[in-house]
Amino acid sequence: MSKWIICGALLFLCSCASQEEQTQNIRIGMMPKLVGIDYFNACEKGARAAAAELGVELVYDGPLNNDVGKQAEMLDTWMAMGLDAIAVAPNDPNALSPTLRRAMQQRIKVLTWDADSAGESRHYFVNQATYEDIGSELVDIMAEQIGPEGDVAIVTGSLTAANQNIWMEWMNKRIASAFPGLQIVAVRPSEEDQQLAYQVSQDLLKAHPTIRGVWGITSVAFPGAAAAIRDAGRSGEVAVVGLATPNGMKEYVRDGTVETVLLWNPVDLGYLTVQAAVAAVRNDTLGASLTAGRLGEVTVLDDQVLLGAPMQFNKDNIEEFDF
Amino acid sequence: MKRESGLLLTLIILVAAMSVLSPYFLRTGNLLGLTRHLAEVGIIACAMTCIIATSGIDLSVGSLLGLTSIALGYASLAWNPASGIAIAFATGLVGGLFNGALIAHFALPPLVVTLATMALFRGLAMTISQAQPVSDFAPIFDWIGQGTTAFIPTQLWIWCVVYATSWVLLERTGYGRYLRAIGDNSQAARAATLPVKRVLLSAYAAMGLLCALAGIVYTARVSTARADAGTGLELEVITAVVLGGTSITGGRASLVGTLLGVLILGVVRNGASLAGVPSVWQAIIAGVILIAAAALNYRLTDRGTAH
Repeated sequence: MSKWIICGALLFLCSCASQEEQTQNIRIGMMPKLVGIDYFNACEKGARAAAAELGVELVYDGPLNNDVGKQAEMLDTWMAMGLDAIAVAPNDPNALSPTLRRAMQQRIKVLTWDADSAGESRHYFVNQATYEDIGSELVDIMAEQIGPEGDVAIVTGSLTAANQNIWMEWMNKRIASAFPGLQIVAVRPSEEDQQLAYQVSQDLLKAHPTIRGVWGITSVAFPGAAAAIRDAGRSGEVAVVGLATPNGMKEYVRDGTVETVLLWNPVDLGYLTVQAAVAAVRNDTLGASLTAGRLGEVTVLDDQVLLGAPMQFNKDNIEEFDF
Repeated sequence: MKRESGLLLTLIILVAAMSVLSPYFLRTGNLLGLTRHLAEVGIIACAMTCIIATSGIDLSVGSLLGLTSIALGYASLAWNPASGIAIAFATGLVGGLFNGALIAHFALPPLVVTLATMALFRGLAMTISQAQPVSDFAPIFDWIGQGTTAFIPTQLWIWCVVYATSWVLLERTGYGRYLRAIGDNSQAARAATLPVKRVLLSAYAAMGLLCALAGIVYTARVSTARADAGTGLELEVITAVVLGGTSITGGRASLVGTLLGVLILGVVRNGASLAGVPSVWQAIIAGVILIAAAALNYRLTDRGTAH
């Protein structure tokens, strides 16, 4: 009887696995922080479009939650697959460094995207916009909405994500230099879990009743925070500003809880990552600029490939976008 | 031995299938790399087999691994790697003894106790570390987690030693017979003047020590001490043990089965990954395998197959 179960399992696996072919094709592996959230699904769309355009094979997969241990495991498996390049968005800047360094030693081109990895563990980092631009714009938007003074709080993703921490650093710098009247009373993580972000924001409103604005700086923290403020009946009173996909925020922009959504185009980010990875494999190094398909000429600053400037979405333009 | 032969056959068939699905599966590099993670599951599975044999269970293993990881990180940073390792073991021991005392001396149900300590240990780890990981480890950890000894990953050697010791304890000593007797009928065991409390306490304490060992290996592998380390590990371990034929109701234990269970799960996950099956499907596959294993277990015992 057990043999039938096994045969059944094998048939099942065969039907959903893709056959490996020994071709001279370039093969790229791309790993988000986790799968199953809007933002990374959008990145995947762009990545697959670039792979199709360039005629390369793309393996896109990641853990089911923001678990860096699982990312390390998956990277180990990928390194055995003879990929030409691996692009990963690490959940922790240090935890993947040993594994990525081993990949580099195996002549695999290693890129990071969305968030960086430390310790000389990658060839290039595909950055959505400079950390300074993102951090400063987040603060500027808040100041536009609540004025130059008041208590504010930040709901971030994971306290270890490199990108989120550096954005917060620049937010602090911007506040210190331009809006010293803004006081950050709390910073809370939400671990890429919208339920947790909602809860954490509710708790913030109760613990700090004088709060005038909340930043949700991930695509999951922002809607969670907005929902909490709307359900507490404080839309319009407490400003909510952050980074998220237009689709995630449309309902809050329509009902007025949120005025402005800041992001870049994650579809473009995914697209650019694959373009950069393929260019790195074909040319071994990237020059001072990269011709990235439909994105045109993209700046390469040392070892960072920059997508461009951040983009603002509000009720005037948010309906045009579908990611 | 019927069950174990069935599992061995399953493993062989799966290995053959995976090598058909992907040409990269049978490469030494891949198989050895696979054992890096399996070692962590395997080490804890040895103790879990003993505990499940007593008709107990330990759901707190993942959280205890996280706690020992943090203990290792902070102690290594404050003093040196040797102290770090010692403190990690001490933490694991205390955690295991805590579980064991509640279960053995206060006769609280293992499921409830370890469910509570699952939350308690994780909470402690988070609070101590304020959710900040600790990186910056001495090179010796690189050797443990990412290095090789005689071409074999170091943690594989560690697992072998733990496995051999556990096998001797479980199959060749009175201790092993006591564990099974307690699982079969703890009242009768007590009446026969078996040292039930001591055996249970020591089983959970040993689990604590092995969680610490796995925590050290994990932390060395990712070079970072994290409070969320080991999340979900208890599910993997228990699946492997149940798949291996150790009855969840106690009284029967098979370390060979556990080993085969760990290998089967590892092969399926690794092979599926190499063949391009997305992660989301792998969770489904793991669940299906556990159900199939439980059903198989039930049918075999139902037929009164002599063990």
